[in-house]
Amino acid sequence: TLRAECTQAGEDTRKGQCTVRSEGLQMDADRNPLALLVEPKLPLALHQGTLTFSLQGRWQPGAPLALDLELDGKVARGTAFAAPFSGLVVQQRLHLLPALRSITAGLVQLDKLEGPIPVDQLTMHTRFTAPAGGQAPVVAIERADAALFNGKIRLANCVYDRGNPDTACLVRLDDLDLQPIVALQKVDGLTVTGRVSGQLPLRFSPQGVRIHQGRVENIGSGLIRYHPAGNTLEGSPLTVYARNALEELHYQRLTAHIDYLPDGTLTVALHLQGQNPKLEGGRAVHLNLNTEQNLLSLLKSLQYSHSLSSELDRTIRQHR
Amino acid sequence: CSPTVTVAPPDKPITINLNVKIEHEIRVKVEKELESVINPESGLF
Amino acid sequence: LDLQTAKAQGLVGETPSGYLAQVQSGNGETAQLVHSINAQRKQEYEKIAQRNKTSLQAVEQLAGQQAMDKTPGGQYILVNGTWTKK
Repeated sequence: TLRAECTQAGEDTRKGQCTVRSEGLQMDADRNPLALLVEPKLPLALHQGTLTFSLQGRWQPGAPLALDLELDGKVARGTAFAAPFSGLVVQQRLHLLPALRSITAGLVQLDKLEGPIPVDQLTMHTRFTAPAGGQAPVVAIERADAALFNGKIRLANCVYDRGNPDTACLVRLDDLDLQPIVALQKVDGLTVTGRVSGQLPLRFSPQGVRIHQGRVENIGSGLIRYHPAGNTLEGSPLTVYARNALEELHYQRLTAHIDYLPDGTLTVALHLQGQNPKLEGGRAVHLNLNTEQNLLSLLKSLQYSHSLSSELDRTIRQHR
Repeated sequence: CSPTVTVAPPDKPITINLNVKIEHEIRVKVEKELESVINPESGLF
Repeated sequence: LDLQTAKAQGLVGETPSGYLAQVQSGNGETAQLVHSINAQRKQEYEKIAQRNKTSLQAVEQLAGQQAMDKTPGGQYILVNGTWTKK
């Protein structure tokens, strides 16, 4: 149902306002007004949701048309970036004309994003502003947090402004579980347990996102086991001693320096202090494990194997 | 009783340096090629 | 005895090594089937390893993961050394 109410200041047709209101507009794959509103364009497909909005236009002599939008969208299920999600809530109050600007900080909430890297309970407070000259709007994330790898990821005061490169944003990681993070990378024969916290300074540049001198540290002790199938590692022969030490290294200190380049190159320099109790009475061992990989290829391969398994689940469910 | 000898762990820590380059592109290609082997039609699965 | 019936009857199952194995040993015909299937699989794995310039072990390991993932419910897979029905 759509209702429009218009009023006019007495006889003066040059002054007045109109409000178009909708209560519970049904949304689905074909009717997806949220995709029109969201700029930059998000690969967002809605399966089922409802939208309540009110659009108010005001005009008066000597002033440009003013257009305000207030919307409250709830989407039960959909896919974003080809990853299924559930429980999306979007609440925005925006000036659209004469220039795009958030009236109050908008809210985006998501219960579950089931991509290769699962994200839960995402809450984001955003502000849109349109730079003069009409390029893409500037998106400011005032506060955002989500559950990730059994811990929390937090952002504050992050600005994404395509027009003005080199904007920065600090990502805080709290109490993340190392085991699933390492397992994702499928490094042959490597398991790491323990929890870490730290910070990833993000920088947006015309080439894309980069992380410069990200750092995480252990909270409490943990364990690293590394026995690759082949006898040598790529690039560094594994001495017998190192192989034995890495059978089961209990660590008390772990720091990882993280750097990421827009082309996907992710380097993680892991430094670890611990001992293998079964070796020389637990002599102290310092391990420097430098890893390099392409994160974009990892995500693609996870997407591939993730979609393979979800595709498989779907076919199996059909035949059951 | 036989004397028990406790070996105090030598104090100097052992340092191990390892470099690992993880190739994800190859894994994706191998997984794709394996699909035709690990498949009922191949007669091997 | 063909592979599908051997699997359906729980005589053989998939393992992380990428090769088939007998769930209960001692049956000559099953042992012969396992041997022949594994020999053919190994040939395929070697071709894939060469084409992608990677180690046979890496291909075998990925094949094992895929074979266990794709094993339908009711058939056997070797999990941590014990045969488990999926």
